[in-house]
Amino acid sequence: MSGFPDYVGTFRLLKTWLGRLHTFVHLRPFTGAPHGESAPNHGCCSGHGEEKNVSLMALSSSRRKFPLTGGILRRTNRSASVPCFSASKQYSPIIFQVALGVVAALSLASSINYYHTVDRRNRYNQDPVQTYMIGVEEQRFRDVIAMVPPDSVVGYITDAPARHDAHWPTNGEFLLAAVRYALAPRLVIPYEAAKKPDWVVGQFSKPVDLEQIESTNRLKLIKDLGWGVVVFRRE
Amino acid sequence: MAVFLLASAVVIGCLLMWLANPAGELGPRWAAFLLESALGAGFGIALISLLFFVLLLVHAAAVVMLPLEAALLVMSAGLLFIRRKREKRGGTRESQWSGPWWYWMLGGALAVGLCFVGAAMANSAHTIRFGTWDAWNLWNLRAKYLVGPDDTWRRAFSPLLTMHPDYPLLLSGFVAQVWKFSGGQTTTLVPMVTAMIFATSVMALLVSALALERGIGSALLAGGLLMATNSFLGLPMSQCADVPLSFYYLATLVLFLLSSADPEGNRKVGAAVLAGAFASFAAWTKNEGLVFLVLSLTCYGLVSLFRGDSRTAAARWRYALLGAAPGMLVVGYFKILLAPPNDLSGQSVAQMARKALDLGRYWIIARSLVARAFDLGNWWAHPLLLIAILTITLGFYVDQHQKDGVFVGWFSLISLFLAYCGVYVITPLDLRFHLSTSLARLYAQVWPSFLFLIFLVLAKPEVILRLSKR
Repeated sequence: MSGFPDYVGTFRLLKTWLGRLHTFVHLRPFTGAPHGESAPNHGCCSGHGEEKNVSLMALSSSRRKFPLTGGILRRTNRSASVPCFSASKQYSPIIFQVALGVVAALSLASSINYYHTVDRRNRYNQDPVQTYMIGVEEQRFRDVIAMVPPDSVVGYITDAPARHDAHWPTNGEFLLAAVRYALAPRLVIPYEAAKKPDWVVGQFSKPVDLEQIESTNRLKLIKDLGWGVVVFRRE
Repeated sequence: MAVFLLASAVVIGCLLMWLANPAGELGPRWAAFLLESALGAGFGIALISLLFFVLLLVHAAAVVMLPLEAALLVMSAGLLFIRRKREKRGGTRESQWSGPWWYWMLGGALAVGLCFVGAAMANSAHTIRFGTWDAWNLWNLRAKYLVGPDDTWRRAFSPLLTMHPDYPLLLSGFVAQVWKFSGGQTTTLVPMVTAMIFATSVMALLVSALALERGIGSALLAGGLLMATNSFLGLPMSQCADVPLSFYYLATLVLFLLSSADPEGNRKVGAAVLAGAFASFAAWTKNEGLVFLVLSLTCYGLVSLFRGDSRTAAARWRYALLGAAPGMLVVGYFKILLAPPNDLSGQSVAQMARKALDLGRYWIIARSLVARAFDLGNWWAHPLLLIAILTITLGFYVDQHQKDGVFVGWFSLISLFLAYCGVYVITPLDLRFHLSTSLARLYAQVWPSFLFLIFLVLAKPEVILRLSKR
């Protein structure tokens, strides 16, 4: 396939370099210590019972074959139950401690950076428009909540386009969702989809001819609450 | 009152979990306590949510729920008191937290990191009080319907709702229960605190489970890596169900490990029953949890079968099924008799086959998987980079007695991830839209479990450092 990146080659290269890095970390080759040598209690897993018998893989031979697995502790005697680790001084403790320090420092730095990122983003999110006016709608519809019984099905009329486009909801749909949340447990559905609801709520972004809406939809205006919010009842 | 009800659910769960004692005699003691408390918080929330839904079904929620909760509280506290008095527990677990200097370095970095992340979450909670679009338009909206009078609770899964009316109701049910019995005020504090409880529980569970099974070093490193996963940290305060789901995934895998990694068999039964229960709670949280329930129980059964004798395997599997049964019954009733069909259904086999044979779709999915993986954290402290550093320096080592649990965990997680990818392949939605709106959340769902499993196969830093000094 033309333009297809050479992932296999890249992976091989990466694996080779990781293997070399691993070889560098584990400085000295395995020299072999007798099995059955007891390891001191490291105090981290006292409840586990005993450590199993393991020995370190012979790095000098396995590293060439499996560059990424050279440091694996390999079981050699499955049946024995005496805790032991047989190993020689092949690891540099400084490198391990540095690696742990690097991981801890980067994690900490990332957490601090995360706080600053969130702080910046939240300043932007303080604009109610960024959060779909959700907090504002509850205030706007407070009088409707007092007027309309909680178990009613409420029709919804608006001048904003409420139809679903290909993928993302339109502004009209965002506003409908916000009204639906503000008025729940009342079930708010578009007027044309509702089967003769007793109550109808209008939300308008600009001045509209309410009489015409009344006559077209056979509704009776109950109250114009301002802020583009109007309550009707079905005639 | 809302805070009291929230706290009582968590306390009920903790008391029951301390009673069940899934950590057994594992040490250190602080880790066992933290593990059981974290499991208890999630258990309590799920239990109350399930009970509330069942009582709604039988029209008895208004009368029975609060007395039932009080009875559960008193009963579990009483049973725990009696048990503690009988046992007069000795100090078999280590009580003090001592260790090499680098424990303190890792622990200090984790504690400071937690402070910054906690502050960021508090900042988000203050700014986006209602959560993100999915939270208020789905989870909290449905909670408001569940609070309503008479039969308005059925609107929580009305097909007239535009967003996922078929989703299960763990989160909405719990929030609704607290709202309903705290005077009907639908304050944003409740979903906010619930989200915080789950976020804290995920962290506590990850750290404590690894401290018990792999040592304190691995536990602190895993906690640090979770703190470096920005995409995961952004989700708790969105108040969506993805972090709760990630908690139930992690809890299930931890309990499977505790059940299978117990050579003496003292906690096998209890942990297996609890693992089944937590898997069913995942199914009650989101549709993805249903897939997880099936896959994890299957993997548990199969691994037990292949790595042990068939009688033990069957017994283990029965216990896990027993634990899952109550949750499965409620989820089954909801999905079969109440919920409308899922928006991914309704395609013909021919349509799905055509999509499955379209290689271009696999390419789009693979590219999105890689792109979203890059978004997990900052490039300079990317969690995968940190895992690579640890892999190179520590290498791999799996304890023999943990192998079954590790196999179950990896098989469950990999098969779950493949199932997610399979859904993308045949989705009826626009593929790019579907990927862009959901993939980051799917990564977040499996991320804590992935970290847990990674640290189960990495060698213990304590051992490697000790070896290096010899």
